[in-house]
Amino acid sequence: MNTLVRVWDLIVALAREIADESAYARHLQRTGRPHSRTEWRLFSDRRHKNKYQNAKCC
Amino acid sequence: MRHLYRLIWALASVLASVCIGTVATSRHEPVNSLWLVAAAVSIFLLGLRFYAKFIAAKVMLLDDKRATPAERFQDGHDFEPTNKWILLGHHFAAIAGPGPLVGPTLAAQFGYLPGVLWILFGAVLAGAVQDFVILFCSMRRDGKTLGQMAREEIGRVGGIVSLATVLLIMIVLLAVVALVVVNALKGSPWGTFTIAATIPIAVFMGLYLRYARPGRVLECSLIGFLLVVLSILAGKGVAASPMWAPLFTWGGTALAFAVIIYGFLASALPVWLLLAPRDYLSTFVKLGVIFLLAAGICFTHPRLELPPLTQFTDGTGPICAGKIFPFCFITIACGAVSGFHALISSGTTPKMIAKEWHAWPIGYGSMLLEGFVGIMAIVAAASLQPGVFFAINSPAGVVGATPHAAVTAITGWGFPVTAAGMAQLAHSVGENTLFGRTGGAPSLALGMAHIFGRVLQIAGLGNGLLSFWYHFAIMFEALFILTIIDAGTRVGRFMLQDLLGHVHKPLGRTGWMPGVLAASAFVVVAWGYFLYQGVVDPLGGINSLWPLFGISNQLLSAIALCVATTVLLKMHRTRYMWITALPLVWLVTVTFAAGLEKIFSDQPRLGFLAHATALESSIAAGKIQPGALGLTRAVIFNERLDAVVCGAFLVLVSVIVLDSLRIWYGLLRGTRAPVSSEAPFIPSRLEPESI
Repeated sequence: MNTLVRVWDLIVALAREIADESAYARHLQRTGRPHSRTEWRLFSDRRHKNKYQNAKCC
Repeated sequence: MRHLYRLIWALASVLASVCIGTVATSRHEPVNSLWLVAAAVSIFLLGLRFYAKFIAAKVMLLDDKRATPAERFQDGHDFEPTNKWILLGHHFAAIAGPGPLVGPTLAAQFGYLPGVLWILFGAVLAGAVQDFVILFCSMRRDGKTLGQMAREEIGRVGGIVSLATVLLIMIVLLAVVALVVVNALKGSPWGTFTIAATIPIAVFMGLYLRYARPGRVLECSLIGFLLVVLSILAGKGVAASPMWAPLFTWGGTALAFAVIIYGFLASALPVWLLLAPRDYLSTFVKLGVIFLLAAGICFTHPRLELPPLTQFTDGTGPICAGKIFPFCFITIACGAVSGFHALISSGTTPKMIAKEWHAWPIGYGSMLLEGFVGIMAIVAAASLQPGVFFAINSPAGVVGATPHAAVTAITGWGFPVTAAGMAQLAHSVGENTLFGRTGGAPSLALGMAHIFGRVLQIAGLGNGLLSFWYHFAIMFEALFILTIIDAGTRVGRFMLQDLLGHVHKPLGRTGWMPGVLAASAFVVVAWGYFLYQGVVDPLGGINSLWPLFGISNQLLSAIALCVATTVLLKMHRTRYMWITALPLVWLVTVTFAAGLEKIFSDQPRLGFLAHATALESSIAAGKIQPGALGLTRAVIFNERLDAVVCGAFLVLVSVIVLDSLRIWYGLLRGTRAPVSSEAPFIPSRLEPESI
């Protein structure tokens, strides 16, 4: 049962990493600012700018 | 314990030998796909455990005591030490695209065996090695890109050549993946409606994330997924409606222009509105479907109906002309060796690795997972009746434009198929016809639909819903292909604006709208032109464009392996340089053989120039109808253009290989100092528990 829970936690963590939600949480923690629409906008704009400098793989 | 461990690996070796022996020697009866799956799993595990670990420990000398860029430059954004299993999933999601699905499907024309062997051994000995070593090189160089490493390790020429090659490859890549979508959607109101619906769904997701629920990406992706499933269900009604069906029934040319216009708009729109939300959605759908397909194959374990080898190994194949050597190795790039992976391995991933030894499962293991995706694609394609497989994938220019002509030709090859059977099959998946759907996507979708449908049947959950699964699979493929088109056009635009900025400064500003529009238009016209020529090509377009893409992708791999070999020499690992040098020699041999044949072969179906000459002779002999003269002249021009592009790839890579040889000669003779751009050793303070 413990193994299943750990696998599930890993899947959720992967999904949150792919969705940039973990990166956003780290960003809030690092800057010490609370979540807001403006903060998300600032974060995602910077994130996307870096992310889409590279082509998607074939 | 040690003896048990050895026994397990010995059993894995025996299992690999038995499975691969069974797959390779079965000739007269269909083989169960589980043999293939077991062969792939055991060979990949052996490769990961022994070969990759040897490279990590003896060649690259991975050291967990050394701080990685993620630790040294940790900023919470790009540089962040990440759990290795999460990063493995992230890296795999980044490298796996349509390539490992489409290429192996197309290569199934040779039979399933050549593709399987190439994927198994190509991935273990070349593809995964390239990804792993480049990831290592970038990790030791503060996360530098392939282009930067080429410039620093080989020289200025290497840097410029790799940049030019990437730009050219991207143009060919975008054209060929767009052609796959166009061929899958032409004459299909259901498919066209579903894919068109993904655009407003993505925009809705973008607005939802920006204004309604900022930061809730998982929640938004789930809503997007449900909406996409609803659009697939609604598509059935659209296809059956006399009013709506004609609105979504488009020919190849109209679809090509729609994709071109879409690419232009998508690259100029803000990222958050269309590209980013669809990228999230397509990544989740991609991972989910790949997992479901693996489970479905294990659950249903279909028989491989396609023979291990077909007569088309002699070069007369209807899908891609050319003999098994070198063309099987060109048709399957992603899944075995893909140069594009070097761009990912020197992109985001090296900036997120927490400990050096994590590069072992991430760099090498992710490529093996992609190889496994390629094996699944072969299983899905080879589980179709061979006659059906060839009827779907053979262009009208080869088998004839009518169903009767096509089934006569295909049955004549020894693969029985009937027009009535094909009509019934098309009806069962909600399509008007399945003939001449070159590109691999429809036959892969059909194979996947059969597997998913069979799972439901076995589980007693209905009649299989074949039409739903077929369009689900088409949506899955088109979704991430359109994301590649968005992102690729945007990156091409950045590269071009960077260059144009040297000529006229405002053109280089990514926020200056006239510059954005001009550069976007240029990039879209470049790949759009190749797409259009593929659509109007009487031989189906895939015959010309897919080999061009395969050649270019593997030549990029040759550049990556030149960089990797140079780094190994500079690390004084000369006795191990064969690890990257042998795959390099193989890739240069294969790609140059294929490239030269594509340019200079005297067979019109194979050689670009021979086809142009044959068409010119037909015009001179008055064999071309006056109405078709314009199109024929356009095809002649396109064939010559393809020859020039192919020649350009060969020249570019010759330059970098020769430049590398010059550097290696100096290093081996001791006349050149082994100056490396590796970052200095800084001890790691990261505790494993904190990752």
